[in-house]
Amino acid sequence: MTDRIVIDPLTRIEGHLKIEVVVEDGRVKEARSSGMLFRGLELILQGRDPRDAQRITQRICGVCPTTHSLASALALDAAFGIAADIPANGRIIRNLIQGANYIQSHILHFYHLAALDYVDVAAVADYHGSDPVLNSVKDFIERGVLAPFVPRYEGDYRLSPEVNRAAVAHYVQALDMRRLAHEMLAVFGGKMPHNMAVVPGGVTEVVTEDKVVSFYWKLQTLRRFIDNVYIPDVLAVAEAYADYFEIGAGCGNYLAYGGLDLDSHPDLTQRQRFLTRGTTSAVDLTPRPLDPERIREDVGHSRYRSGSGLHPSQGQTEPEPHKEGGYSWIKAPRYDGQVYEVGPLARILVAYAQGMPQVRELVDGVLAHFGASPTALFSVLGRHAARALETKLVADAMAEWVLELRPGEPVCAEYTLPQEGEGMGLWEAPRGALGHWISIKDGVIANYQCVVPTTWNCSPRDDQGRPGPVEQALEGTEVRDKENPFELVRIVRSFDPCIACAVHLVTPRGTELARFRVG
Amino acid sequence: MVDGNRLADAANRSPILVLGVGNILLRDEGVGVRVIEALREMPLPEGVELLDGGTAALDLVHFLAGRRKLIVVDAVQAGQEPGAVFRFTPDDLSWGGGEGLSLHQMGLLDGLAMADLLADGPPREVVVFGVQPGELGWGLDLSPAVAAAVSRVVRLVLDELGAGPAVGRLC
Repeated sequence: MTDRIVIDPLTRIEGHLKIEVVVEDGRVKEARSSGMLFRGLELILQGRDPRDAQRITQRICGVCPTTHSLASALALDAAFGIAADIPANGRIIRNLIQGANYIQSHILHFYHLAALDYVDVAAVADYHGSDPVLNSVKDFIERGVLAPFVPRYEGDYRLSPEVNRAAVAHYVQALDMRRLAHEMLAVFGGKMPHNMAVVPGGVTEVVTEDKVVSFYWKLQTLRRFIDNVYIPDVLAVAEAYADYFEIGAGCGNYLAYGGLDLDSHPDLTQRQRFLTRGTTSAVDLTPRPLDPERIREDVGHSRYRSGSGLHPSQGQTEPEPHKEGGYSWIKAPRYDGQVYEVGPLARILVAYAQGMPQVRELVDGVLAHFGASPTALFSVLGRHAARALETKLVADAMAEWVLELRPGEPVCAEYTLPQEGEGMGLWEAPRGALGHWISIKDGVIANYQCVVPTTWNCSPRDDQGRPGPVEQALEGTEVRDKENPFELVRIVRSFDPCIACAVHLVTPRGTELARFRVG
Repeated sequence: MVDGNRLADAANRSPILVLGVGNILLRDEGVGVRVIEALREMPLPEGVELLDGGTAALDLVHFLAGRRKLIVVDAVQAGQEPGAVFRFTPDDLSWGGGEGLSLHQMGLLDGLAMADLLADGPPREVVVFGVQPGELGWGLDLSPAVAAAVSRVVRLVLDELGAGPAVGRLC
């Protein structure tokens, strides 16, 4: 028996992504991931002042503006010839801004996007205690306001009532923690949601004792939440759903550009980074170096008529909406001709393979807790665990970095705009490797290309017909109840997909708006 | 005027927030942000903050919580000619759910619902000014009809705030 299941939209609030699977005899026979929005940003940037790239690319995405601002700044640093001149304060503040973004994004992903596939919010309707938070959620559900909690499937919720209730209370607490992380980012990032502080050469926000203290105390509160609430909740979910250590492995190749600079080497590929750069594979967990020249983007199954197999710096974007065999607006990035997963799991595995001591200690601790071998990491729960452990690693490192800031010392290098130049900005968004490539001719942008993390993870088939990482993670999966395909949403959501982004037009339904016309 | 994009503590928060949302890279989709930019040039009453929300959805939750009044400016698909302007409240409309309505489009409503869970609560009053877009392709400029609507929406927002001479409604 063959069934077709469509999950659209799948990212619970963010993005335009459609996953279509064919289930035969209870197993996924074929999966297709497609992005719905044409990638036309490049067309806006051509011919503009190079500095505009840094402001405009932030607007690509409502979820990751901070990360785009940083990747773009790195590309401009290189194109302007000032990559080696970033002062220590500027480098550290960039890291603190990005670190705050990882913390809020990872907390958002677990509590507000992913946990609802495991935690039964509706069970709070039976709550009769006096906890004000739980009563507010109960009241919320009784009023039928389920918007943030849907779509949800029915059936496979396994947490005990106590653990379930605690997780719901933490859902609300996590909203406040995200606010705190945003406030922390704003200490040095200035305006939110679109920060204005990150610029080519460093940052604009100067260092004062007050800012350092304010940042540090917010961070300490967040660290307590990460250690005492977030990580224990991920482990509690993992205990109840341990079979998800065996589901959703995917392509088994992992790639990280690296992020959070520890020096200002003029060549990005030589920089020491806290989140390390490299690749590894599930077969041997051997560390391998990363060579960005080996990145190519195929469009054999993407709706573009422009050349296939091009390096992003040479990328072209000519749409062909009805192309035969094309089923996605996402291109298919490949590294060294192979399919690679990006994101927190890839970063943690690359660092683990390289023997980074803090990563080894944390990961081995979790594996020992479950009596599991490293192969358990190549899974749905492996992704959630990696995200939580990375949050801790970054937050702990930030507590040291913020105290290295020197009030009164420079935060930004000076530069003159070149007539010609090229730059590459490789960085890590919360959801994986992010690359910006710029070329400048006659003082304006000649070409600008972005390869965002979800294009790696949710890519369609490449020119060789090989499915992308999410497609591979789905294919072969057993679906127990096709009306409530928990397995599928849990697999896809574990990648934290986010499609750049954002036609979010309000489209009310079933109502004649004309009677509200005022102008 | 307080700049709403600088996240203030709840205690220091202005009672009224004017929030423009949309993606300025997709031409008329960004009309809400363009209205905020125009409002920044205008004298505003005390207690009013302006916020360029861009395409952030859930990240706006904390900006919404605890307000006496929230005025949202956004592009709205109403099937009218480009540049048509509408004033409504979330209660006026059936927002539906399920197929055909992307959850992505629900971002703002989700934000409002989540604000309901926070200690300082959702905004007590919400008014939406919607503008019918014409062009939604990639580009930074508004189409002529929607560009012409910006000054009308600015006037309507000022009236709503009680700043303009046309309507004397005080907030």
